Amino acid sequence: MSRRGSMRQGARGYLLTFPAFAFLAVFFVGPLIVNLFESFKDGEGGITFAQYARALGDAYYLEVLADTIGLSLVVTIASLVLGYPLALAIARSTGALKSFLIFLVVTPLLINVVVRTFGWMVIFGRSGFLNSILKFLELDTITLTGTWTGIAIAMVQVLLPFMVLSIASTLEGIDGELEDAATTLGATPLKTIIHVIFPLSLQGVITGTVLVFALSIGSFVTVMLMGTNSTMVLPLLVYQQLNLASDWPFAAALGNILIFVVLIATALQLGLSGRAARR
Amino acid sequence: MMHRLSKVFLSSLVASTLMVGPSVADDPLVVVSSGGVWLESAKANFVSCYEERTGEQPEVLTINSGEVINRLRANPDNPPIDVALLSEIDAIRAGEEGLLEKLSVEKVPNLADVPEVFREQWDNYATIQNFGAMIVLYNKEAIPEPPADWKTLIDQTIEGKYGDRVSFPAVTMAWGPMFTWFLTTLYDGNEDMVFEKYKEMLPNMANYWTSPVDAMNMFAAKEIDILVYWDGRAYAFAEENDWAGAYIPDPGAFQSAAMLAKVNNGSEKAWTYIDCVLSPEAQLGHSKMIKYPIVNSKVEYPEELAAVLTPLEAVRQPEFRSFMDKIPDWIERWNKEVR
Repeated sequence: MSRRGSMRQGARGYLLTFPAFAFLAVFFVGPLIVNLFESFKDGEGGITFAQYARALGDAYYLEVLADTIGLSLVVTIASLVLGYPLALAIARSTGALKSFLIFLVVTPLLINVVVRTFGWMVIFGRSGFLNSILKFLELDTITLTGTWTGIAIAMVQVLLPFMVLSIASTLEGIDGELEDAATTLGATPLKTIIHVIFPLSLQGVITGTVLVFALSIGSFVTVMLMGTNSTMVLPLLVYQQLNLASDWPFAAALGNILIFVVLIATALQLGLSGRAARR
Repeated sequence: MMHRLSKVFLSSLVASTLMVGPSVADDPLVVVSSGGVWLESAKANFVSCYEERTGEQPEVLTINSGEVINRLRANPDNPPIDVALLSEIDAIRAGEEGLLEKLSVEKVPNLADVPEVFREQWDNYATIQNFGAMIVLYNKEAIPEPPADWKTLIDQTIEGKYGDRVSFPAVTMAWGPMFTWFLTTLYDGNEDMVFEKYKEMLPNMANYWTSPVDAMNMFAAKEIDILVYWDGRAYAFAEENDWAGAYIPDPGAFQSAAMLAKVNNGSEKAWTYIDCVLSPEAQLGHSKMIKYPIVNSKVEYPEELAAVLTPLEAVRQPEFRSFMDKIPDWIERWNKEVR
């Protein structure tokens, strides 16, 4: 193809992607920019950094930010630990078993997160399913509603499919003969996973962890329904400021802080992803 | 190829523009209702009246007050809602921000039968559609003699008399600030005292509820013995379950209300809908279904209904402007101190 021909083809390509970019610019980037401006409003038409000073200068809000990040990290790590074996099973299975496993993973996504959270509230309730079994076994009941543990369990169940599907799709691309070669050379199954499969699936692992982290850090429904004031997260504070306090500038500032944290996590992912690709 | 693509793109643009024109003219009236039995009542009583008068069917949205006011603020010149159902404070804010249109007897004839007390705090930008009160629902088997007044209930909760089987509404619940205001009236306006009491009750509180569904589920499952809840649902539950009782502790309760308003720049058909809502027939039908008192003075409750409705004399309407600007501080205080 001539140089002019390839340039024309390139321009055509950009033109075809323009509607998608325009859509994203208006409906994704646009509201973020509006939100950014809102966070600097002082109520009298002027500009102020007071909202950020309030959020970042108050020990309470810093504690909530730390708890939000901490919860997200716990949920992400738990999702990875539980999700990797399941993803491996999906990738290595065939036929009806594979379909069944994918069905098990995907089906919860069809159910609204509010409904699923109410389900966990029924299971973890004082006289819920779990405590009923414990009572039957004459064991002490446990309190999971209103605790970080209960919330984390519910969030892992909600977000696990995203981790599993991200990893499984990468694992399926790994040649099974590499595992055979490792076995032939004397590697145990565990060594094969650690030294052969896991490094090759790193891209999927990183994608899954960033996806789950981003989703969990922005999640508030589960925390709102299952938590108390002792389990406060930043998204829930944003919700309160918008709907109860009607303090849009402060809500916008809190939201922007959350976006900044996610952007850092995404930047780390791009860095790790690039390093993994170069290997 | 480019030429063909351009033609396709342009044709789609023109077609979509043409589709917008006629659909705007035929847009149905958009009204708001709460969900569940409230939605059923709205359809049975208000929507049916509107359909009878106009031959049209409105679109009913079940969204909460916060969402309503945010949508109106986002698009005040071309609002997506014509008849709003708001909380009392959101209705005041919306009126002050120019998002609502004032109600008048000329536009809404049935407004003449709605006493001033149900609209004067809102400067006629909204009227109470129905009201209720936060009362006490309790387990008669576990608590044969419930406390006679609110302060005794609070103090006995602090003492642990009821174990950790009590649930009050959280300040961060939509009507939480109103309940907090009501408690301050019990302690001579002392907000610090109220927050101190909230904190002292916390160890013996099953939870401070934010989800009404969860609160009622906990009570129904007998996980709690005392629940501060809305009268209509509480009386209905007590009626259906012998083991449950409902009452208003002394010195009464605060009035919680659903506010009905016409959205500024919304459809003029909204006046017809609002007049339907305030008509005696629709109001009585609504009260029968949701078991809450209504506001049209011409309505006469049947005896069995009157027995389960909180009388107006037993409730105190909050003085909203005395505390609504304090709500952000109360929320911050609640988050920081009561945990």
